[in-house]
Amino acid sequence: MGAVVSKGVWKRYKNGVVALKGVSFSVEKGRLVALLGRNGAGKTTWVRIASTQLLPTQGTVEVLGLDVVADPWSVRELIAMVPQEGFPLDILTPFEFVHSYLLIRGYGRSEAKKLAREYLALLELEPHAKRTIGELSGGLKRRVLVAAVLASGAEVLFLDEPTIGLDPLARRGVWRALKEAKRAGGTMLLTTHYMDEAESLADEVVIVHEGRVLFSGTVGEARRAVGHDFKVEVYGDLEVEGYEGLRLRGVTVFYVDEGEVDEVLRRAVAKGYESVVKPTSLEDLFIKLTGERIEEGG
Amino acid sequence: MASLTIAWINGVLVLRRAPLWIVSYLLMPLALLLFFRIHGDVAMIKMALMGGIIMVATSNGISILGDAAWFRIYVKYQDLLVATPIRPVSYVMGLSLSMLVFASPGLALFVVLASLTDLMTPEFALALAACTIAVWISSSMMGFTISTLFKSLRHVWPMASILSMVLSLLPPIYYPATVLPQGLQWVGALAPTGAAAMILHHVAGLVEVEATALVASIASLIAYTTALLLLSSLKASWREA
Repeated sequence: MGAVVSKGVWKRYKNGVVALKGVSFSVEKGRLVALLGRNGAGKTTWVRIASTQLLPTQGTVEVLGLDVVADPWSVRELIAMVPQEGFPLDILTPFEFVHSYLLIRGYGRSEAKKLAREYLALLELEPHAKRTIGELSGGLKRRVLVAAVLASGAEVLFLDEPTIGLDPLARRGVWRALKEAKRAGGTMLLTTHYMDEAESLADEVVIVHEGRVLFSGTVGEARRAVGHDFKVEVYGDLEVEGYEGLRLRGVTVFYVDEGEVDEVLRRAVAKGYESVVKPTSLEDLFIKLTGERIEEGG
Repeated sequence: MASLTIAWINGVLVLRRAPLWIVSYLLMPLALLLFFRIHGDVAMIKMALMGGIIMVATSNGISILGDAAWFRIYVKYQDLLVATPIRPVSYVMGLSLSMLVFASPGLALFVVLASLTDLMTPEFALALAACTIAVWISSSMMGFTISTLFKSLRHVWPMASILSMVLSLLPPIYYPATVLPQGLQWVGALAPTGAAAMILHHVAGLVEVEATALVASIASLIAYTTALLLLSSLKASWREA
């Protein structure tokens, strides 16, 4: 039995927008799954349904065997969530915020204090623990939120863009904390449009595009699904017989194996175009599936 | 426990770190008290003292509108709490209690000032406590209910000021209900603040309120408090359709 099971979830908003079109996938206990997709793909809508904030139009989501629509109060005992674009309360210190969040979840005062200190340290927030959150940078504020949710000890965590707005160093700090939480046996679902985040953290990825799941599998399976080991990006409009080029805003991308790289490069040089060779990554699967780069989303 | 925690972080800690808010909400009732002290008689001063208590309870109660909308729309604190075992009613009660915490220095000041007059008989103190609690509950529940209707913060803040002023100045709080046409004094009880003021004016012996108006006031205060409690608990939904 999966820790989180989504079956044919549809969401049509009152304004007629259809955000989800039959989303199905499942997450095993103790796994970290990244929901990848551009802005507006439906990731946040799905997370809001799974975390009992929004009703689906059709379909079901089960968390640890409990239906999120039929039994939301039992589900809420087991989950915690970092909302997209959420911020901790600026008048409090990071310690007060995490401590109060744990008290609200039902922890005793001394246990809440201990956990708050532990997780602020894990997220490297100790030096800021006595400043008010309003004085902290946007990235530090986001880490306070992540610290609170991780400290909750909830069995299933939903993290909606937890590292958005963080600098690379701060992002790695959050990743370390998420890896720690995963080692402790937590099941996590995080939405992101950072490919490196998904590759570094996730056991599995679910690629969502325009409300549909285009791919669901392990990171290794995703890489293999690209079908080739390398990509050649040619900065110009190039056609090479026998190779399919994908045109993305002035760049032609060829997915090739090692022995084919030279041929494409020669053609590019002959035309006077600059080109770059890179190993294929998760982003290439996204490009292959959608014909678009993930960062181009508005 | 969850309600008390919310009252602590949104009431006690905010009060301690941003005490200027106390000056802000006390300016109007103190200015009115000064005005009546200069231009009015003893009865008018007493009326301004009772009015001050009602205005402080109302303006702070209605302020929940801004806090609840801020938590829901901007910082997404409500979203964070939905994915926890806290019940929506506990959340609303916590926010409402934090408004009372915020109002408490102002209420204490006006109670101290009122006790310098001969107002504070046991009957009056009892009526004052009951009316203040009813006004606090009804205004904060009204504020929370209205906050659920807004999608943008820009419209929330002016609404809180408008409601606060309308509820504190329009009904017969700073003037006797006898100013209203004979047989129509019950109109003053259409707002919970007016109802509370008419009861207090009557108990203090300042105004001979018509019997129908007095009954209407008691009924109105009970009805507003109960109805707004029920309405806010219905509107405090954790899940959107």
